[in-house]
Parts: sequence; C-alpha cells; structure tokens
Amino acid sequence: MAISGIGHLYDPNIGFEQSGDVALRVFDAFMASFCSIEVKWHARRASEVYFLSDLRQEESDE
Amino acid sequence: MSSPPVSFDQESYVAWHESEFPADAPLLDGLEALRNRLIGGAHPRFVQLGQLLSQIARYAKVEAKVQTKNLLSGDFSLPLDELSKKSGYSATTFKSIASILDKLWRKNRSAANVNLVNLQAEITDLVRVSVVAPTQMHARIYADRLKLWDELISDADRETYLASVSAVNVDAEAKLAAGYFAYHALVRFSDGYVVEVQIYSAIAAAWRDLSHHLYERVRVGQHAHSPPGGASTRLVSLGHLLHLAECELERLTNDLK
Repeated sequence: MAISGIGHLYDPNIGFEQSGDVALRVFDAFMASFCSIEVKWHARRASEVYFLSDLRQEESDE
Repeated sequence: MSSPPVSFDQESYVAWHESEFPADAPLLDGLEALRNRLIGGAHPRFVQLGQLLSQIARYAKVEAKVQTKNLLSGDFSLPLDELSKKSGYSATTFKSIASILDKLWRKNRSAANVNLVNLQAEITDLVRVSVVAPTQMHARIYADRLKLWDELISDADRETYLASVSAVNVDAEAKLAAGYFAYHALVRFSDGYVVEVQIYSAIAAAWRDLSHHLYERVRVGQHAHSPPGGASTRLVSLGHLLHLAECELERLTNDLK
C-alpha cells in the first residue's frame, strides 16, 4: 500500500516531475496516521528508495 | 555490607553479588530470565511506542520548520523496523547480561544496593531504542514535544492506540566526562515496563558508534589509559567539539532566519 501509493506517482523516465509534492503528502499522511507501524516502516523505505528527502530539500529551498 | 570488587570482573562480581543478595543466586540465571521476560513482552508495547514516536515526529517536523523558518530540513529517523518486529531484535535493543552486570557493579560501587528485586527500577535502559534527528536543534524540539505527548495526542487516540503508555519522562543527558550529549526519554507502561528512547542528532549517531566500540574495548581492559592524543581522549574531545558545532549551528540558524 505505502510502496504503490508513492511508487505510482513516479515515472522512470521523468521522475516525479509535477507529482513530487503529492508524493511527499502521501508519505507524510502515512506517517501522521495511526496505520500499523509495519506500514509506516514500508512508507519510510519507499521514501528512501524514491529519494523523497531530496524533494523535501528542494521544497525547503524554494 | 561489603564493597563490590575494586575492578570489574564478571566472575568475582557475581560471587560478591550472590553472597550479598543470596535470594538472587544463581544471578546469571535470574538475569537471563528477566531479559527473556522483557523480550517476550516487547511486541505489544513496541507497537504502541512506534505509534507514539511517529506521532511526535509529525509535530516536531512542523515545529522545526516554523522555528528555523525552513532553514534546516530533514526527517527524523525512527526505529520503526525494530519496533514492528515480533522476534529477532537487534542486539542493542535489550541490554546484554554482560552490560547489566557491569552496570550493577558500577551502581553497587556507589552503594546503590541494586538486586533483582529493584533492578528494573534502578536500571532504566534495559530496553532502549533511538530516534535520530537531523540536527541537535531538531532533537531538542522532538524531546520538547515528547514531553507534551498527552496534550498533543487526543484522548480518543491515546485510549485506542496508546492505552498502556502511562507516562513519559524526558531529560537532557550530558555526560561531560564522556563527551556524550543527547536527550533521554523514559516511556513507562502501566505494568511497569520501561523503554528508554535516546534522541540525538545524525552527527552524534556516528560519534556514538565509535564510542560504543571504544567502550567495549575499555570494558574488557584492553584500553585502560587515556593519554593525551590517545583514542579515548580524542573521542571525548570530539564529542565536545561536535556539541559545540551543533550549538553554533543552532545559533547561526537563529541569527539568519
């Protein structure tokens, strides 16, 4: 759920492009919810695989 | 009551302990049983702890953004993998018997009178996990928010997801002689189970890895001295240096925001 929730926003050719902020919001929503901590762990793993922290940095720089 | 051996040696300490506290004999079996009870009872508490830590991260992240005016960013690294396990925990999560014995020796050297009856009340880091924050400033914000956990999380969510969490005590931990700076929170459950949550910055995480490695060497007696320029001395100095750097980063952030 967490992996596909973030992964379907990613295009292997162009990355997240316009969907980056949505991907960050999906990740934050998982972490802010009371879904199981296993799901949160997978959301965290997905954020690492898709380098969401880089998007966060770009968001912060803007 | 006689004093424990002057220097630590597992065999002589156990012999001393069993003569002072006959009810604890055999001590090693008693400690193993205690450790197994802690491991066996971990999962339901860890699930609640994982929810608590992730909820606090949510508030701390926003607070850090506001306090730094977006100058410092980054995510908190939570021990969700460890807390979601049902077995096969990391070797560092439950204090080893060797490490408990070492701490018993140090406590009883200072006349604390610690035995199996009061061990869980006296040694509160038998179970411990870490939250790694991007900077020390984030760690402080996280610790501050964790103190207010029962005000931040609604009554309904506390009753549903954190029903066994009874109290959280947060302290800034500064071991100046060791060069160690972190925030420690004791998350207490209603049945007396306690988990220590150590909160520190990413740069302190690297320093801690080295420090633990060195401590193991010192404990087994291979590195008893700390001469100028030696590894122990430099490590302690590095701890202070990194702490100063983190303080300066926070001051600069406050100046520039």
